Amino acid sequence: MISFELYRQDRPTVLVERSGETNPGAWAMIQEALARGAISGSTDRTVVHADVFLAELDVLRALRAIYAESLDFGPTLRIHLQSMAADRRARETAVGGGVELQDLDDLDDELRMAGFVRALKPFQRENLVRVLRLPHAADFSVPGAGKTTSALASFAVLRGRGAVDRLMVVAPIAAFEAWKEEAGACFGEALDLVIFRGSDTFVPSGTDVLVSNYHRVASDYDSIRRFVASARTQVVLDEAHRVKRGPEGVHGRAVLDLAYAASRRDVLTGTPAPQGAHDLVALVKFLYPGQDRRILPQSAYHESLGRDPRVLADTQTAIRSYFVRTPKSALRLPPTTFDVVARDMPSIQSAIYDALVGRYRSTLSLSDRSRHNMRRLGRIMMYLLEAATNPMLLNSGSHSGDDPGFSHPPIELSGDETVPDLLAQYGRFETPWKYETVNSIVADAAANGEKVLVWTNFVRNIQALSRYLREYNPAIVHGGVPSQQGPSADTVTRDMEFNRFRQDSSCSVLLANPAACGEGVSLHHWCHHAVYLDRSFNASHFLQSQDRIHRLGLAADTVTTFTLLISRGTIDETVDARLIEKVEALSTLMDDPGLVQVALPSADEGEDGTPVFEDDMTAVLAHFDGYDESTA
Amino acid sequence: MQNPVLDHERVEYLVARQDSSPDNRRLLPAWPRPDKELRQVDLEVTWLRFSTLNHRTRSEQMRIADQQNRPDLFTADPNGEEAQTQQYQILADQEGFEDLKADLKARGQQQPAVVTAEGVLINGNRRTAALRSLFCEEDHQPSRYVSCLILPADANVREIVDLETELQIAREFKEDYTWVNEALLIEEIFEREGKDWNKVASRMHKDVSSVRGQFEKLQQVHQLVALSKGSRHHADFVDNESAFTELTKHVQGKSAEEAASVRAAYFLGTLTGVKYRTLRHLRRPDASQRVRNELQNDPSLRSLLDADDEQQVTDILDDVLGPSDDQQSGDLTSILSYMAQHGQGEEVDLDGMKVATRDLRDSIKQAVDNAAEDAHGEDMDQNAVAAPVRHLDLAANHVRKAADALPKARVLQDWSEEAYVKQLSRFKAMLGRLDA
Repeated sequence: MISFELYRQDRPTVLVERSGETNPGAWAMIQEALARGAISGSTDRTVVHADVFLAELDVLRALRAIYAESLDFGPTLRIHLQSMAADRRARETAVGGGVELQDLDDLDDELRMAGFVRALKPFQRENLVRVLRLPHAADFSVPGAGKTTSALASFAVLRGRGAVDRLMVVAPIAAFEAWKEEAGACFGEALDLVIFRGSDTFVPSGTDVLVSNYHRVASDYDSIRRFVASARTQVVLDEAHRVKRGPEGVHGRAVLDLAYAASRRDVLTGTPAPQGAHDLVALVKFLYPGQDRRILPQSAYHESLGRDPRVLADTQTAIRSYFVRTPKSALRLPPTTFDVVARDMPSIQSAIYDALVGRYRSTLSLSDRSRHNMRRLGRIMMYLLEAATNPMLLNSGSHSGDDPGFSHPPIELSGDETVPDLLAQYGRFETPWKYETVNSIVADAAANGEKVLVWTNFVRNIQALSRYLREYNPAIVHGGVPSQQGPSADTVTRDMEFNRFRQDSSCSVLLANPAACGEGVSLHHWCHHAVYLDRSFNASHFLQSQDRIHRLGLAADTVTTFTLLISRGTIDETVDARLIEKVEALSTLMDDPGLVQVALPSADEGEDGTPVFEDDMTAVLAHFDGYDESTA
Repeated sequence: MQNPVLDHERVEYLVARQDSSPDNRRLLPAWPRPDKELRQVDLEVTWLRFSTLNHRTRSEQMRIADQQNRPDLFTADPNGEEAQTQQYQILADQEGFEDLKADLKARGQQQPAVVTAEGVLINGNRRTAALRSLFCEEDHQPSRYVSCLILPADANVREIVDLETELQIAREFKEDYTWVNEALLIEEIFEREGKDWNKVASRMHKDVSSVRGQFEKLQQVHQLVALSKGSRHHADFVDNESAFTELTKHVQGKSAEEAASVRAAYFLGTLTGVKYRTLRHLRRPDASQRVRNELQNDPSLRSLLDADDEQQVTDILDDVLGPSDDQQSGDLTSILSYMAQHGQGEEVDLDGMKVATRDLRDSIKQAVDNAAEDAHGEDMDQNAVAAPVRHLDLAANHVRKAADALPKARVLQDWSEEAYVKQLSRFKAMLGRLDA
């Protein structure tokens, strides 16, 4: 006999044990299937990660049929299997079905009874009906659609029904304030909300809502798990795309492990799949641990196929019943316009770029997929992005405030090529054309009393621009600007800079990088024009940064403009093509064709990680391969 | 302190031998203790005992013990005559034994062997067997003595396995291990080290994925041995590592259904003796379905396919996974199950007919062979369809490369415009044939 039991203390594990006369073939079959998840054990027992065990239940069924081996499931595992079976049935019955007027009326009654006072918008009510039909659900609505409010409403209803007792929210720090405000404003009697800042945070027993960030869940897993496990708890992941690395990432692992202790699970994010279908795997694993392979098509597990049209279509079909989405179009936002400015680089910059490409093309082995080579390629991509914007950055390397994915040493100048000479001359003879363009955009805006938001990935660009544009009194936000007030009173924080941009009429421009303020900040009341000096392969940065100035609350006649600066024949074009591909993939997955319209320039608008993910490497390599020095 | 499990007569003999020998010491870096210098003594080749715990022959031992139906053949009295004779035979039958003998005859023993305090060889089993063969069967006098390093009397099993592992990973010993025996060593270390892959990997000086890969392949061998009910043994799979590697590689990242389908077809084929080259053609999602169809065509086998329908129980697993649809998916579970229950040399009742299991196996083999060949034929047709476009694609790439290389080549001294033009016109002429 082979017996199994689930242990939910700490990280959930399953103990597999053989006793008596166990068929060696049956035992070997289990050992083979579970080898990748083994944590400890001895000859007759194996302790494995619960998620690996639950993913291999088919093998148990097969081995019982082949070897007629008897299997025994312990009481805790049995309870978990029963809840999985219940989830499966509930998923199958929840699939499909429209929302009737009666459903909405019933929902209103339930919300009222639960003390929820905030009036929900029609699309929120409809989504909520669907979310509550599912045992666990995803809200992929765009920013500004009120995901926080909806999640609190679902908690109110579920608590009213006696399905859960309390709420655990995992969110980025920037979103804490929003949760606090909403938890106070949505309920007649404000919820008891505690921000968990570490193991010394006191969590009173009457706490309704505990809010923590992804990093904390990993570092204080035990305390948080205790809160979740000691009562029936709904766990909500806000900006859930942060767990997309799944079990391989530290945060992902902790959050996925937490899923086993939760009674109800929800994920919220407007960009669930910035890289393609594969990103959804971790989210589905959290919602339905051990059932993801039954929900998603096999092809979704191949990262490299993430944007293959067939895979996108299959994945969309597979998941469409498990999520709700309020698209941007439903928010009735005023339109966006895109201004794509693509220019040839001036002669010296162009020569520098040529030299760089020539230099790296000859040393890169295009077929080498080793990690070392990939990392190197990631660095090279940074150099190319810099060269396409401002070659002066090449001398300086990364800044401590850069997104970690963007860190790279200054380019090595060995002296036997022309690059150093070119760089030495560059500052004397040329100003980057993108700088000049930004300057004229900001000057026009300032003259009209308007403000401009400038996005770039490089802190040194922000610093150089802040000098270049100093007459417009730029506000500055990047990773090196602290988000909280430090010990010294004269520290400039991100909030201070945001407020200066909002309130100070002499401050006409905000220079920011998407990694530091892509999420959670509202600037739409003050600014309607964003310029992208450079962009990276990170589609979620691109989409989330747009939402800073294009969100609910805009006047109907406001036109929001996005200007994309692209140096012709450079990596800028590669990045542009990849972002288009990714946004299109996301729009297919979400069945939200409007996303493409809102978030990408239409064909006639143009004049014609490391944030780099593995499959973006192919694009960078293709840039080398297809680079034609005569046209650049 | 005396180690109670040692044979004290042999220990005392060895102590006496050491006392009468010059005090030679030699460094054995693989020995785990801090004091790595061991006494070196010449011992008679016939006195030494082969290690029966040695992983290098584990799978061969398993086969002999099973064939003679003596599970304790090598463990009851490992140093006794019977076990030692068998062990000597295993070593002598190993590949490369004659080459080893020739080498020892020509150059003599280069490295000392390593023995326990009672004279059991931890390292140097094959060389000692070769020396013994030279001395006893060919009367080659220089082979009478074996130079040995002697481990302390209190060395424990853990230290000895650690020593063996360290020696195993050293390059010069590596080729002595068959992949099955190496995997058995990995399995033992895995179980001994609390199933911690990192420890196994560091012991074996390999990375986690490769030791885990070996372990997983061994688990497949275990399953095949169990399914064969005594007709196949671990050692029988030594020559087929690539088939296991291929199977493991193929099923990685495949859906559970496809993985199960290909595995079942491979297992069934392997058990009935289908050639691995043939099985390759069944690396496809519908492998099991194809085999099943073939089986269905054979009236004597048809009843096997649905043999255990009434055994189906619905329980918590079915509730979690949803009902299984083995009829559609071409499930071979029932037939594998049948093989697991019935050994060789039995007669079984199939629809009222007595059939020898051996004949049954032959029929199953035929079915798998047919399925694989059909699949192969279809692949060939597919290739034929795609061939023109594929070749053109390759050609287009080459043309692009030629164009890229042209300017650079033209300025070089050895450039021949004539040869170039000639090739180009040949190429253009061929292009003309494609237009039609």
